[in-house]
Amino acid sequence: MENKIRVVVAKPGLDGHDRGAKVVARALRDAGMEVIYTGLRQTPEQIVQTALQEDADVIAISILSGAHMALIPKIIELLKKEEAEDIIVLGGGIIPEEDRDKLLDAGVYSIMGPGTDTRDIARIIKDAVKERGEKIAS
Amino acid sequence: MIDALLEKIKNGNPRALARLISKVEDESPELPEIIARIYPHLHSTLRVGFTGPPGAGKSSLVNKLLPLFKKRGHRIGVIAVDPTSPFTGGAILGDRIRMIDHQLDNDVFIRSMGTRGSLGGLAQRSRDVAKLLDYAGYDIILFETVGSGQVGSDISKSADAVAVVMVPEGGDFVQTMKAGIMELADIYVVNKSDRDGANHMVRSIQGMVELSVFETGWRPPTVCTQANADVGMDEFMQKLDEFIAYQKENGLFEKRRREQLIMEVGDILQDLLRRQVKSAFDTGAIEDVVLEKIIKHESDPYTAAHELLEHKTSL
Ligand SMILES: Nc1nc2c(ncn2[C@@H]2O[C@H](COP(=O)(O)OP(=O)(O)OP(=O)(O)O)[C@@H](O)[C@H]2O)c(=O)[nH]1
Ligand SMILES: [Mg+2]
Repeated sequence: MENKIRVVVAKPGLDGHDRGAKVVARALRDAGMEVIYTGLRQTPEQIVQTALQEDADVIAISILSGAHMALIPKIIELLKKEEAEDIIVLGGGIIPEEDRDKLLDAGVYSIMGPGTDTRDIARIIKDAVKERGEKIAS
Repeated sequence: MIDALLEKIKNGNPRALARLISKVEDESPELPEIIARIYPHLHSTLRVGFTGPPGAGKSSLVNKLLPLFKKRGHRIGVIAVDPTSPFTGGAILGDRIRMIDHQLDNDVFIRSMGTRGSLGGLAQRSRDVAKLLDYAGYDIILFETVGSGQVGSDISKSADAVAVVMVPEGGDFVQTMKAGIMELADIYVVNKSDRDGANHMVRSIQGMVELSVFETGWRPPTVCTQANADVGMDEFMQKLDEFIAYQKENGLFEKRRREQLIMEVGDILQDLLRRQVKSAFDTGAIEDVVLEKIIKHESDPYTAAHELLEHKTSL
C-alpha cells in the first residue's frame, strides 16, 4: 500500500499561456507524484470540483497577473465551504510583496517566485503533505 | 471511518467518494471490507470502454457523448487512465482537459488514474473504482485507456462494450495492433474524420473485419466521428445500442459478465496467494518450518511446498 501524492495543477484566469504550469507538472511527475493537469481558463469552482473528485492533496496554482488575487482567495473560500480546507494550496509566479502577504493570510501555504527550482517545489509539497498527515494523525 | 464515508457517499458527497477511490488506488488493507459492504447495494451498471492510440480523441469523444447519456437520464462515472512513468512512479493525468464542459455537473463524476505498478492490478483497481461509482449512484461507467496492448486489453476485460478509437493516420497502428487491442473491439471509431485518409482507414478496418472470424457472430461496425465538432455522436450511440441489444438477445451480455466475474475472482485469488507466498519469504516461514527437513532429506521441495499450502496458517 502506498499513498501517492496527488496534485491538481491549475492556471486559472483568462490570460496568458500555461508553459510554466506544464513545467511544474512535469517536475512533480518526475518527483513521483500524480499530477492532474487541468489546462487553462479554469474557474475557482471548476478547480475545486476537480480537486474534490480527484482527491487531491494539493492544488498548485500558477499566478500570472493581478487578476489571480481575486481567484485564489475564492478557491480557498470554496474549499472551506466543502469542508476541504485540509487541501494544501500553493501559488507560484510573479506577485508583488503586498499581495504575497494577503495570499498567505488568506490561507495559501506557500508562494514560490518564478525562479524557484522545480525540485524545491516538489520538496515543499512533500513536506507540506507530511506535516498535514501528522496533524491529522495527532 | 468507512461507515462515515459510505454514509456521506449516499448523501452525494463527492469528496467521500473520492477518498474511497483513493483507498482502492492505494490498495488499502480496508479494501476487502469496503467492497463487501457496498456489494449488496450495487446495480451492475453498464460499462463501456474506450481505448486506442495516444491522442486519438478518446477524451474528446467521451466529452461529447456525456450529454447524450445524460439526455437519457443517466448519471455517468468516467474513469480516465493515463500511463504512470515506470522510472519515477509519477504521472501526468491530462484527460480532464478535454472534459471541462462537465466539471461542474452533478451527474458526471470524473476520476483520473495512473496505471501505477502492476498492469494486472490496474484491471482490478478499475473494476473496484467502478463499483464505488455504482454505489454512489452513477449508472453508466465509461473507461478511457491508452490502447498500448496490455493496458487497453486489461481494462477492456471489465467492460460490457469496447470501442477502439482510431485516427485516419493510424494505418500502421492497425498493422501492429492486429493481434492486440484490435480484436477487443465491439465497435470501431475513426475519429478526426475531418482529416485526409479517413475513408482509407475505414476500408482497412473493414477489410480486416471481413477477414476475421467472430465467435459471437457480431461483426464490429465502424463509425466515423469528429469529436471536437460533435459529428457522429448519434451514430455512435446507435451502434452502441445495437451492440448491447445484440448481446442481450443472444445471452452474450450475461455470458461476458459471468466470464469477467470468474476472471475477477481468479485475479483476486492469485493476488492473495502471491501475497501469502511473499510473506512466507518475508517472515522466514519457509526457512523456519521446512528448510531443515529438506536439508536432511526428510522432506523435499515439492512436498514441503504442498505442506505449506495446505497448512496456510504457517504461511
Ligand atoms: N481535427 C480533429 N481533432 C480532434 C478531433 N477529436 C479530437 N481532436 C483533437 O485531438 C487532440 C487529442 O484529443 P484527446 O481527446 O485528448 O485524445 P485522447 O485520445 O484522449 O488522448 P490521450 O488521452 O492523451 O491518449 C486534441 O487536441 C483534440 O482537440 C477530431 O475529430 N478532429
Ligand atoms: Mg485522453
